[in-house]
Amino acid sequence: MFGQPALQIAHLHKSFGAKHAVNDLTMNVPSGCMFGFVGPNGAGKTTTLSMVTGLLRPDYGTVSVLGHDVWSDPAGAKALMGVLPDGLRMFDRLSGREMLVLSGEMHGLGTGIAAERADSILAALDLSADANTMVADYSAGMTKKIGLACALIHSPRLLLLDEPFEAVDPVSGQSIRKILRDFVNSGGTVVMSSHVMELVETLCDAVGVIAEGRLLAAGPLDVVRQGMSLQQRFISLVGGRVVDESSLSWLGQAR
Amino acid sequence: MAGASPMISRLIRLQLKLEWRDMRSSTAAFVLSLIFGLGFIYSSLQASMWMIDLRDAAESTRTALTVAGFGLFTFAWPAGVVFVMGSNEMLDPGRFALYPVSAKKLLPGLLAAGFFGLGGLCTLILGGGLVAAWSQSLATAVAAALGVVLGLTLCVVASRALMSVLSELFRKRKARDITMMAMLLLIVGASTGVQLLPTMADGDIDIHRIVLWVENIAQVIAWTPFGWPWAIPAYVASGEWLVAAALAAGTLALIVGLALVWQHQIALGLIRPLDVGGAGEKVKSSALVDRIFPASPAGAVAKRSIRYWRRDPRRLMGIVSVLIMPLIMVVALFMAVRQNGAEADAVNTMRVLLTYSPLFLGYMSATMVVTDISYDGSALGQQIVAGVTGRDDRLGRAWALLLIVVPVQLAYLLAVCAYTGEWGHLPIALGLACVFVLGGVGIGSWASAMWQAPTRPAGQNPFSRGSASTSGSLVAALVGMIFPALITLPTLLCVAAFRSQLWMPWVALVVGALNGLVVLWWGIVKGGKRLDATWPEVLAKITWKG
Repeated sequence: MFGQPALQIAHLHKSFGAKHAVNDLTMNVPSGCMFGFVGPNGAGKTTTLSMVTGLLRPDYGTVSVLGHDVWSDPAGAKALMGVLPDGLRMFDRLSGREMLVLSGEMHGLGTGIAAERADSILAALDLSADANTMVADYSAGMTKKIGLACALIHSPRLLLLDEPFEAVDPVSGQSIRKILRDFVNSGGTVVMSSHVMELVETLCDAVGVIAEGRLLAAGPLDVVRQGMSLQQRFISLVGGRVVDESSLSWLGQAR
Repeated sequence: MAGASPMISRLIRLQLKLEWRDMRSSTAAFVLSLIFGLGFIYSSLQASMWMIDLRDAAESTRTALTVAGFGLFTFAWPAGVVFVMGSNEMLDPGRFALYPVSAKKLLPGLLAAGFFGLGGLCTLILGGGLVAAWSQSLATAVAAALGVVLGLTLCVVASRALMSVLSELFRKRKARDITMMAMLLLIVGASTGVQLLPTMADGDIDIHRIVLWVENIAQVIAWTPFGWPWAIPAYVASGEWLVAAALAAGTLALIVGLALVWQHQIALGLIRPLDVGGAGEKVKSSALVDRIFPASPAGAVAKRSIRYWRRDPRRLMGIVSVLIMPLIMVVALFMAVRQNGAEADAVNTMRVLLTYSPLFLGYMSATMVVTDISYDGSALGQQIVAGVTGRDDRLGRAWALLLIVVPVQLAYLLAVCAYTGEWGHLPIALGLACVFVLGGVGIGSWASAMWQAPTRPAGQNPFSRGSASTSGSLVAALVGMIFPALITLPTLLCVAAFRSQLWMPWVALVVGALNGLVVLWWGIVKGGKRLDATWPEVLAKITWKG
C-alpha cells in the first residue's frame, strides 16, 4: 500500500533539564500516507515535530526526509517539507497575500508563480476577501489557514502540520480535508499532530501514539486500533485514569 | 458589604502573592526591585524628615511647598503606575470574566489591593510627614490626616481608572502601535532636547528665572484637583473652614466620579474579556518594492524587511529617530557657526565640522541592524522551516536597510556641503560615509548573528510588564557602537598618509568605498555562517515568553 519512507526518525531524544520531552523515538512514515500523530497534552508531539522541521536541535538521533538528513543536509530536506508550526508567531505585519508570496520566494519560486499560486490557495481556503488584510488582524482560524497555505505554496513532498484543524471552522475544515486527501492521493505524505481521536480516525491511514516522550504504538490505523475505536485503544495505551464515581457525586446537585 | 469583605481580603492576598512571585522571577529582578523599592522608601523617609522641619517654617512657605509637592506627586502617581510599573494586569478585570462576580463586588477589593504596593507605602510615609508638618494644633493635624486618606484614595482610584480606560483603548492593535510610537518619540525627543539645551541657553542660565518658572507651575498644579486634598490643612490653619470643607467635598466627589468610570470599565471588561481584532487593516503592497528586489530567497527577505521597517512601529521609530538625529546635530552646529561670527578661525572649524556632521547617520547604521533579528521574535521560524540560508538572510536585510539609508545619507551630505561650500571635503566625507554605512551594516550583520535578545513583540500592550535587557543585547549594542569607529582605520590612515597631496580626497573616497565593501561582505558571510550553524539556538533566544 505504501512506498518508501518519506520520513525516517531514529533514536530521537530531547531533554529539558531533568525532563525527557522526547525519549529515544524511532518511527518511519511511508510515502503516500496520511499519518496522525496523537498523544495527550505535553506528550512531546510539538517537540518531536520541531526537531523534525529544524526548529529545535535534538540531543541525539537522526531525522531524514526522503533520504535527506534534516540536520546535515538542511537545504535538501527543507526543500521537500511544508511546515505548519504551532505556537510560533508569523511575519504578521504582512498581508495574507504578501506572506504567501514571501513563503514561495523563500523556497525559490519566481514572483509570478508565487503570486499565481497564492491567489489560488487564498481562494481555496476562502481567504480571498482578506488577502490584503494584515495577518496580525486575522482571527485564530484564519491565521491557521494562512499558515497552512504557507506550508503548501512550494508544493512540498512531505507536509508536517501541528494541530492543523485547531480553531478552524467546519466549512474550512472540510476544504482542508479535501486538500490534504488530494495531496496524499497524488503521492504526497502528511504528518499531522492532533489530540482529537475522531478526526484522526476518519482522516488518517496510519497513526503513531506518543506519551511522555515515548512512542507507544505506530502503524496502519487498523493494526494500531486492534479492533477497538481509536479512542478506546488510545486510553488503554496511555493509561486512562479511572474516576471514582462517588468522588464527584456533588457535581450537578444544588449548592 | 457582607459578601464583599472576603473578596477584599482574597484580592489583597492575590495581589501580594503575585507581586512577590513577580519579584522573585529571577535574581536580577529581585535585586533590581529591592534596590528600586528601598530607594523609593528611603526618598520618602527623607522627604518626610524635611516636612517635619517645615513644622517650624512660616505658614505660607509650608503651604506652598506641601501643596505643590503633593500636587505634583498626585499628578505623577497615575502616570508612574502606567509608565514605570507597567499596567497592573495581574488584577485585570478580564481575568474574572468567567466567575460570577459583578463590577460592584470587585471594585472594593481591587481598590484595596491598589493600596498594597510600593506606591501606597511611600504615600503613607509621606503622609506621615504631612501630618507632622501640620501638627501645630489638633485641628490641622486631623485635617492633614483626612487629606492624606483622601489624597491616597484619589491616587489609587485615578491610576486605576486611567489604566482601565487605556486598556480599553489598547484592545485595538492600531491604538497600541500609535502609543508605542508616541512613547518612543517622547524618549527620543527628550534625549535630543537635552542635547540642544546648552546650545540654546548659551551661557547665561538664570537660576532665578527657573525657580520662578517652577513656582508658577507648582501654583497652577495646587489649584487643580491634584492639589485639592493636600490644601485642606492649610485652609483649616487659616480658619477658612468653608474652603477646607469644599476642597474635601470636591475631592470626595472626584473620587466617586473616577470610581464610577472605573466600575463601568470593569463591567465592560467582565463581559468582553477577549482581545478584539478590530476591522482589520488593509495594506497596500507597493509594486515598486516587488520590482526592486529579485525573486530569490535573499530578495524575499529584503522585501519582507523593507515592509517591516515601515509597518513595525518599533523598527519605524528606530529608523525615523536615526534619520532625523543628524538634523539635530546639523542645526546645533549651524547655530554655533552663526553665533561665533566674529572669530574667523572658529567659523572655519565649525564649517568643516558641519560638513562632516551628517556622517552621524551612517555611524548609526550598525546599531539599526543589530536589533533587527531580535525584533523578528519567533516569526523567524518561518524563515528557518523554509530553509533560507544565513547568507541570504544577512544579504536580504542589508539590502533593504541600505536602500533606505544610502539615499538619505547622500542627500544630507550634499545639502550640507551646498550650504558650507566646503566641496573639497566632500570626497573624504563620502569615503567615510561608505565605511560607516556599508561597513556598519556589515558589523551589524555579524553582531546580530552572534548576540540576540528577546524583545516584546510589536502590537502587544506597550505598557505590559516585563522588558528584557539581557547581556546578549548589551554586547551587541556595544559592538554596534564601537566597531564602526575601529573599521575606519584603513581609510583614516590613508587620509593621514597622503594629507599633503592634492588628490588625497579622491584616494580617501576610493579607499573608503573598498574599506566599507570588504567589511560588509565579511559581515554577511561570517554572520551567515554563524546563523546556519545556530538557527535553532537563535530562535530559542529571540522567542518572547511573556
